Order: sequence, then C-alpha cells, then structure tokens
Amino acid sequence: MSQPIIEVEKVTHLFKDHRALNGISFEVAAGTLHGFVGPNGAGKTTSLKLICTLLKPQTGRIRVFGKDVRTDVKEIRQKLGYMPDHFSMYKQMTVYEYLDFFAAAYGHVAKRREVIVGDVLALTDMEGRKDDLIQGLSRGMQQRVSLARVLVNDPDLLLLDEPASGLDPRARIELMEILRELRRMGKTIFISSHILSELAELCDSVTIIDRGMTKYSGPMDDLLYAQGDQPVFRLRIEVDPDQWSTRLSVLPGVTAVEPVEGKPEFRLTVESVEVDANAILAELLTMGVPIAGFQRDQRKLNDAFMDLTERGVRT
Amino acid sequence: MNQTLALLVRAFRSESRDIKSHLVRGGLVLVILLLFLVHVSEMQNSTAPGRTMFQWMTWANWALITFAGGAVFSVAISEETEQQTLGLLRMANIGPLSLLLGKWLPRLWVAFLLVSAQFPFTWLTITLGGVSWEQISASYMLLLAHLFFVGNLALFCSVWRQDNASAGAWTFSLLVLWRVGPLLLWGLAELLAEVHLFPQELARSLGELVGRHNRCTATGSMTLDLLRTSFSGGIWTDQVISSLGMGALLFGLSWVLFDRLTLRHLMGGVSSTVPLIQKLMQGGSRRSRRVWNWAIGWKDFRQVAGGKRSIILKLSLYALVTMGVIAFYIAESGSPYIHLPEILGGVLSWVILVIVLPLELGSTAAKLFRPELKDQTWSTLLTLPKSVPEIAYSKLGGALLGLIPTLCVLFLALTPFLVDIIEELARDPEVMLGFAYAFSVIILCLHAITYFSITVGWAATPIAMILGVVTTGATQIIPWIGFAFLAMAFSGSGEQALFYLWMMMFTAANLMGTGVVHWSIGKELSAKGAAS
Repeated sequence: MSQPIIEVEKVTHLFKDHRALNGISFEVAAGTLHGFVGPNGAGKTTSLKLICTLLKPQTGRIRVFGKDVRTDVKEIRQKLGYMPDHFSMYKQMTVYEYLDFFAAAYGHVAKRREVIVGDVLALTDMEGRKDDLIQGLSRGMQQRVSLARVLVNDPDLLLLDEPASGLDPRARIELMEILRELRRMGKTIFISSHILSELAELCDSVTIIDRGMTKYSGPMDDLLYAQGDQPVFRLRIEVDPDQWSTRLSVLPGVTAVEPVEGKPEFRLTVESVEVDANAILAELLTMGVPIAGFQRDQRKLNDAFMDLTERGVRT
Repeated sequence: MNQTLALLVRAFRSESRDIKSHLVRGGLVLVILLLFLVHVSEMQNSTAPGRTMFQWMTWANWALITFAGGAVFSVAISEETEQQTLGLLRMANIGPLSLLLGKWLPRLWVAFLLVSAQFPFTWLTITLGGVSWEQISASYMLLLAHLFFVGNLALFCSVWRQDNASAGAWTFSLLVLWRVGPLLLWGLAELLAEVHLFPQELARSLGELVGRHNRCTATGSMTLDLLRTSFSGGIWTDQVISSLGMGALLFGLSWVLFDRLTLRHLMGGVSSTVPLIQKLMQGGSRRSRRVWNWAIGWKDFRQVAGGKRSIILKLSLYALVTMGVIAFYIAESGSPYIHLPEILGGVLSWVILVIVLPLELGSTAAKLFRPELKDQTWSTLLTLPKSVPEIAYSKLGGALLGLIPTLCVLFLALTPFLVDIIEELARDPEVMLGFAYAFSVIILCLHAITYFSITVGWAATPIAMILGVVTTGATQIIPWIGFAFLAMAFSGSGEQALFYLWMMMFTAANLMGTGVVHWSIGKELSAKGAAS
C-alpha cells in the first residue's frame, strides 16, 4: 500500500447525546479510488466533514496529507476538494462565473483562472453550457458543475459525498467515467455512495462503517473474495448441465456441489485454500465437461455490506 | 369551504402551539406598558392623560401593522413556495381562493388577538380622560383599514414572488412607492413645467390629484387628526375607504392572477432574483462577467448589494428626489437661488438618515448570511482555505460597496452644514456623547439583526430587521427608565453630571453587548457551516 493520504485513528464524535462516530479508524492510500459505505445514519457525512476540516474531531486523530485537521486547516483545504451531498450552488451565476468565482477565491489571478476554468469545463464536458445560468441546468449538469468547482484548485484529494444521488443512469455513468479519468490523472478520490454495484466496479479499496464503527477497511478484492477457509468456485456448463450434477462431486478436493437456481451453473466448495484451481480445471477437462466458464466465486458488494452491517433503525 | 376550514384549523393549531405568537402578544403589551412608564411624568402634567397614552398606543399599533404586518403577510404564500409545498396543496384540489383565505384569515386573527391584548389599556385611557369612544373607534377603524391594505399588498407580493425575502422586500418597496412615488412624480412634473417642458395646467391638475392621494394614504398622520379635541367625524374617513378599496382590489388581483403567477414557481427553474426580461431575451443564458480577484467581495457586491445596476438605480432615484425638491422649492418660493443648497441638503440628509440608510444597513445586515445558510452554500464557502472571519469580513466589504451612492449623496447633502456640525461637536460635549451613543445603538442593532437572521429559522429579511430593532429598543428603554427615576432623585445640580455618566455607561455597555453578539455570530457561523 502506498503512503496513506487520509489517516483516521479512533475518532469519536458526539452531537449532544448522539454518538455519530464511535472510535472509527481507516486509511486511504494516495492515488486510489476509495469507497465509503454505510447505512443511513452510520456516520459517513460526519466523517467527511471531519476530514475536510469543517468539523474538529473530539477524540482521536485525523491526518490528511500527513497534517492534523485540527491545526493545519488552511494547508489541508488548499489541496482538497469537498463536494457535499446537496446542491449548494449560487444559482444566479452562470457556469463560468461560478467556476471563475471559486478559482479567484482560491487566490488564482485572472489569466491563470482562464486556463483553469477552461480545463475543468473541458474535463466535465460543460464547455458548451458555460454561459448558462446554473438554475436552468438539469440535476446531472448541476452535479457536473459541482464536480468542476471541486477541481478548480487542482486538489490532490477529492471528497465526494453521494455524488451520484438522484442522477439518471446516463448521468451516473458519465459521472463515473469522469471519476475514472480523474483517477488516471493521479487524484485520490474518497467517495461515499449507496450505489454499491458501481462502487464495486470503480473502487480500489473500501471502508464500510455502521453505527459509527469501522466494519471493514481494505482492498475491494479482499472483501469480495474473502470467503473463509473453504473457497468456492463457479462452473458454467454449456450443454445439458443436469447430467453432470452427480459426477462433479467426485472431483478431487471438492466437498460440496450446489446447482445455481435458474442457471446452467454449479457452485463447487473445496476443502481448503490450498486446493489448486488449475488441478480442478484439468480434471474437468479430462472428464469431458463442456465448460463455458470457470472462476473463483465473487460475492457482491451488496452481500458483503449486508453481512457486515446490522439490521435496525439508526438514530 | 371545507378546504379553507382545514387550512384555518391547521393554522390555528400551529398558532396556539407556537410560543412565538404568545411572546409577540406579550411583547406588545410590554411595549405599551413601557411607553406608559416613560410618559408617566408627561401625563401627570397633561390635562388629557388618556389621549396622550392612546396616541402612543395608536402609533405603536400603526408601526406594528406597517412593519410586522407587512412581514407576516408577505410570507403567506411564498413560504409554501419556498418549502415546495404549494404544489402538494394544489394537488389536494385546494383552489386559489381557499388557499388565499386559508393563509390570510389566520394572520388576520393573529392581528385581532394583538389588538385584543390591548383592551385593558384602552379602558385605562378612557378612565384617564381626554379621549372619547368615537375617537377610539375611528382610530381602530383606521388601523384596521390600514391592516387590510398592508396585508393584501403583502399577500399579493407573496403570490407574485418565489421566496420570503423577495416578497418582504417588494412589500416594503411598494409601500414606500405608494406613499412617495406620486409626490416625486408631481415634483418632476413641476420642475419640467417650470422650464416649459411640461404643460403648466397638467402639472397643476396632477398636483391636486397627488394632494388627494396624499391625504388618503397618510394613515400615520391621520391618527393624530383623529385625536384632536375638535374631532367630530365618523369612522368612514377618506383614508379608511381608500385603504379598504385598495386592499380589496389587491386581494382580487392575488386571486385572479394566482395560477398565472405561481405556475412558474411550481414549474421550477425560474428564480425570483433573475429579471424576467433577461430570461425572455436570453433564454437562461447571458454573457459571463469577469470575477474580481477579491472574489467574495465581488459575489456579495452583486448578490447582497445588487451590483452595478443597483448603484445606477439608486443614483437615478437620488437624482429624481433632488429634482422633486428643486421643483417643489421653485413652485413654493418662486426663486431658485436663495437657500436652495441648505433646503436640498436638509431634505436629502433627512431622507437618507431617517429612511434610506437605516433600511439599507438593516437589509444588508439581514441578507449578509441568511441566503448562504438557506441555500446551503455557506459550508461550501467554508471549505476555502480561509478562516470564518476572513470570509465573513470579505462578504461584509462587498455588501457595503452598495452603500457608496447613499454615502456620497449624504456627504454632498451635509456639505452646507459641515462647518456647523464640526463646531457644534467641538463646543458641546453633550452632542459628542449623543453621537457616540447613537453610533453604539446602531452598531448593536445591526449586529442583532445579523444574529437573528442566522439563528431564527422563520426570520426572513424584514422579520430579522424588526426583531433586531425591537430587541435593541428594549435593551435601551429599560436603562433609560432607570435613569428617569435616578434623575428624579438627583434633581438639581447633579442631574447634568449624572446624565453624562449614564450616557457614557450606556455607550460602553452597548459596545460590550455588540462584542458579545459579534462573537456569537462568529460561533453560530462556524457551527452552521459544519451542520449544513
């Protein structure tokens, strides 16, 4: 893992008598796209506000770019872009004015601002709408402008709180494309979202929190492939799968064979992690099984999320 | 009918549960009680103490109706638009008339409760003597008609505008325009007639018409006429009839135009702050303007102070007032040369110091942070690499640029008196103390307005201004009553010294109070940034 850009250590935060965060800890490596997941009321927005220095941690420690959020507020803000979960924009301004305003507020001179605003407009594909009033733009367009605003100070770290919420599928896909492009540009992106399928595809690493506590924090693959001591493989058979059902149980190292309902597939549970997948595949070919697909079974992020978080209403 | 009743019941329920309305009623009684205490010595020497007291009550009511009434009625429909509940009400098949009545009648009921809270004092004025039942009923009728007019004007603005702040601002602007607009027009006509650019006859006819309008709209000064000992009229005065007529007309307009005016709000996308003409001409686009390097100042110069257009508009208005005064002067004196600078300076200084500057300062204080908090843009601003004070003072700086035209005109207007003012200040310490004290009250009041605008959720611009003025007024009245009692005890040579000492103590206390409110505003702004 490369150098952490965000370090959150045992942070607790109370709002009056409500404990929003209860000893949360995680790290985000530089240059990664890190997902931040949790049920409503889990403490995601509070964590984001602490990281972007809008709130100060009551106990514990948060370091961003190696600097303390309590004391090095200006240095952190200079290199960070925060996009809240609501559309907070000056809607009477045009798109260009809005971006130019924030570029000027970050201290850029007029000539430099022209270049910066031009670049972020190009990146977010908003050049054609630059003279439009923000209030007349669709939700998806406004979200793009919000993202463009976050980019005007060329931040190394982007904190995005529910950026895809309320967007139609096309706008969501386009937003995800922009995020991929930003990761390619070397930005670190910390994204809170409820759209788990997209996070699973997009993110290198993920933190799952619930009731103010960290439930998982680490690489996305480790979460999706983590299956304990007995790994599971998924086998897809091209022709007449029923006839193979009983014959598969004799495979070496396989302890259980379970057909997948409604699909020409089987889930093969093996004895231990030491069992070689290549050996199983070779045996299947020897048996003459018409294989259409063979892969390590991957959990969905939804399943992992449901396993790790508790039922019930959060307050 | 059932729908109106449902809205009425909902309004009455929330009204009876809402501590604010009980506090307002209690506050009004307290104000009357304080007025009574302040003028107790004056009333002792008066042959008609009941009349003196009733006069103060009438003025308090008139001010309350004009300012609080305008503010309360102006949010009747716009609060539903702002909370995006107007569409839901319309979907529940509630028609425009039911909506208007359902939102308007409860407010009228609140006004009635306010008046009824004063009945014990009205009885007291009769007992004290000097005022008759006829005068009391004529005064209340005048106030009721004034309420009907102000309430309906505010209701119309509430239907017309999309947000509370805009509806309130338009209500007060139209009230002022209704009162002084015709006078200005007449002044202009007289001026043009003097240089033969306008027919003399027409200017004279216009003068008569404006005179009649002036009599009908002068409800404030009419309260004085009604309490003269020579009063012999009934309750149906010109003012009452014209106020009721205009009120009914405005209610009708609100009803007839309801769908037309609110439809664009329901469709979304049309903001009250962007001129309609601009939208029609440019279809939601316009040439982007260059931002200053002082970005936050630029933004608030445009958003709070109104930008360059507002400066041009203000200068044009001052030019219009100047021409009106000159025309009036020429028409009255026949000579344009003698004492004109003094008269012009006097009128302009009075208009600016008594009306324009307090309103501009108050509205700037109320609008400085509230829109940012309402639109949740404050938290975005706080992510800039700047401290809360840096952002707040930049905003203030930008907003204060809007005062430049007013301050320039005020300086020019005061020029003929500048030497006298400086001499007076140097000669009389009382004047200097008075200036310092007035300054401390104004600063405290502006801070109070800002504080209320960010902490009280329902306090849109006009309400925040009223709350700020009333709270500051209350903090000033109580110590002055204390002074009045002490002065009675120290009557004689020590009274002057006590006055100076008291004045200095007040000024210091006001400045300390300002410091506390200033600190609280900073604390609230930091907290709100994290909360939104």
